[in-house]
Amino acid sequence: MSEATETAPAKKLHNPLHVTIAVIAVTAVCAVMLHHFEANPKYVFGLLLAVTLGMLALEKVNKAILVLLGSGIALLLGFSDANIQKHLTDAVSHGGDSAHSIPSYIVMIDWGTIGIIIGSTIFVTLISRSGLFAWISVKILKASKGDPFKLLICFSGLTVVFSAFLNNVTAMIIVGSLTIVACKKLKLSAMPFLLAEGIYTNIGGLLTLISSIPNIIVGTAAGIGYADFMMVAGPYCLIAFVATLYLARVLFKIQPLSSDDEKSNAKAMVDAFDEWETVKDRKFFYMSACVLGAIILGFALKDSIPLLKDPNIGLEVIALMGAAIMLVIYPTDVEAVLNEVEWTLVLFFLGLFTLLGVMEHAGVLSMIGEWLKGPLGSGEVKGPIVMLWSSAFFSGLTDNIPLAAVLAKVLGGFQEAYTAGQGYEWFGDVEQGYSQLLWWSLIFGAGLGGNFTPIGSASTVVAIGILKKEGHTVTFMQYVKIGAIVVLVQLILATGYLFAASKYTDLLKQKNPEGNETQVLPHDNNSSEGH
Amino acid sequence: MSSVDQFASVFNAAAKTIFQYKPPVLKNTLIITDLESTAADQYVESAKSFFAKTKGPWDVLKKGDFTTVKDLLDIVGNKKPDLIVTYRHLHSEAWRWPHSLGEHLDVLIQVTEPPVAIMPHPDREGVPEHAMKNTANVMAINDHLTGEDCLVNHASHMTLSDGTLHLTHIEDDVVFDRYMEVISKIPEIDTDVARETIRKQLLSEPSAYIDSVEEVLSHELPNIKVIKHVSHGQQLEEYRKSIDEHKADLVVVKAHDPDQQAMNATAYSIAVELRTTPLLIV
Repeated sequence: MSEATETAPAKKLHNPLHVTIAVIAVTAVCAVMLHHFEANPKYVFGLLLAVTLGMLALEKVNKAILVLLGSGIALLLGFSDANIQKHLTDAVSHGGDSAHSIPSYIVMIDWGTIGIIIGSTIFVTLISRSGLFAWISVKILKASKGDPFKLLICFSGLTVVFSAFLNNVTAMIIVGSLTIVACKKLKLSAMPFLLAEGIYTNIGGLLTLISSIPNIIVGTAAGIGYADFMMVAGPYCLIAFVATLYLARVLFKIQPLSSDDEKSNAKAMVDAFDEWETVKDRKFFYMSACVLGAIILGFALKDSIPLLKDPNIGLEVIALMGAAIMLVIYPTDVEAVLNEVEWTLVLFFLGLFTLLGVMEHAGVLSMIGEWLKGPLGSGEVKGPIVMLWSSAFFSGLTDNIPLAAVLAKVLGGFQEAYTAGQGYEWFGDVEQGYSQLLWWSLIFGAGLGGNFTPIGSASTVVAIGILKKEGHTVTFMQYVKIGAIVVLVQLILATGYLFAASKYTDLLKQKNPEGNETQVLPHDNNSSEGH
Repeated sequence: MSSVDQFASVFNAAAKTIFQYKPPVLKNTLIITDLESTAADQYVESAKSFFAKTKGPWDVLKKGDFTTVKDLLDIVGNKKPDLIVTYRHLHSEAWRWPHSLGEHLDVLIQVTEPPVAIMPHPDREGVPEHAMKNTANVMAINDHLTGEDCLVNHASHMTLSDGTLHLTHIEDDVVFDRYMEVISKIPEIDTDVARETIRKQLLSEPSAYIDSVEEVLSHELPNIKVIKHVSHGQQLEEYRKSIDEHKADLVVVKAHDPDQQAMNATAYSIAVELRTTPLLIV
């Protein structure tokens, strides 16, 4: 999400001395607690996790640096504790002889997620260079005929679609830039449109398994396929789209044009946009469109295509193949394109997965699971509601990625315990769709909560950054007054939708490859199954 | 291609300025002269013949009808013409020194709304052979032609139905070089790339606009030929060269600048210097 930094207010650099002192202090305190006072490791590592997540929430230090430091300390402490060291060593024992063994922190990483991030960044960057997204955007702008209300519908729809197939920040940058240019031409205020688009990126971010990072983490942990994900999320996105459109029209007082003169002037303004001006090389444009279509089809029909059907082939393989094909057909500037890979995000995930891997072996995630067992297992109505609303609330306040990663690990732990016959029958009751309800509540909560505050999602930060650059300041409270209403409506709709889908349809029941309903398979984030 | 600025640039480039055809209504024409009797009548006839596309009614002010600038403004205010036809240095001998427009015309152009046609002075010699006959070759000139629909509409309205409309846009090299000099001192900007891309973009916009004028006029005024002149150079010199080279019968320029009391600098220079070619100031 490096793009967000270009429009967001400049962040202060961290103080190296303060960070060094903090790292030494945390390491020393944890080491003393662990070895001198022989404290229970799960509390010591729990403290380390809390400090790391707390620092992440404060956003004082780059998140990649922070989790890499956290995971480094966790590994050092883990190898210094005999019990945890055994778990960590066990984790690598399947690697064959010692000369070819895989370090434990490599096994802890969800390489599927990393592959999807790297692959999709490369193909999205290259397809962007073809002008395809800009071309589509101008076409959609023209379809609005310059009428403010139709413009709201068109830009919102475009944002949802782009967010679903690109990442939210890129979608916001493309549609946001066009909004600024179009609104200047049409002499309209860009503020309502940009704020609505910020909200719509989070709806679009729910649509597919690869639309957002929390979707990838939770969806793959839950073993939900690309097509199944869309089948569940699609109808909700449509409902939320219409409801949010109504809210946006009321909240921002957007009215359609009334007189024929106004309509014809507005139409002339948008007709003056030349979509082909955004395309420099038509051959590359058409090839990019074909590759994008093939990638989307590959994701959607993965389980039906014989070559991709193998469960060991994950979505990351399709993303990386798409990236490779795009690099072949766009041979110039390969290094510049590779530099645009979101390395901060990649390093963040390497650190986060390692940190959570150590926490799992130290028993911290089981401890959190025990705490959450009460509220989440409090009933088939209460549990999912707690998950949906609390994850939405915390996602609104801070980064939803660590939240989704921790809770996905916890739910994965419930799943494993149920499958191993260690209780948790309430969770594994697939007939009632309870476990799936919890997984989906987490996906919806983590996705929708970002609309609550202006810092809740990177795309909203970009939208507000664009507005600031154009001379419109949106204060925290000004945004919350709008965001809170929107989130409230979207969460009420999500609650109703998930329960209705669970009770009246088979959507939330996991299907095996033959299409029969079956129990959810235990999922190990460290294996490639289920991606 | 990831930042807002990059995408905004792409969309800004895609947002073309399209010409909108809206011909001016030029019916009531006021001819102002400081001549008397026969000389005045001859001048009026030649003006009527030159602006044959303007059907009238025609109104004429002669020597005795006004003296001061105030007199003239009062009469123009009462008559409310759609077009004023006159020449430089009314009630003055200063036309012999080509350094100004004369007090009447100076004020008239800035104060009144209707376009003002400035004809060569009746006593001036050296008027080219082709001049003052008709408006077969009309040239609209501006240092920022893009979006100047009013200018182009006036120019196309004045062009004979089978005539030629020249649309001329000259990017000023003096201004461009000044900016390039500054850019050459900024290490973050590649000077060669900046020179090439900025020049290309500066010329592509008026070029695209003239293309849209040609497209629209091909439907509205199908027999008029539109010729594009888009280049860079020393503005006044290039304008003069273009006017001479294409034997322009009438040059149309924009004079009003909303940010100042004085006339637009380029238009003023042209109005002062091009004394043998009829001008239409809009």
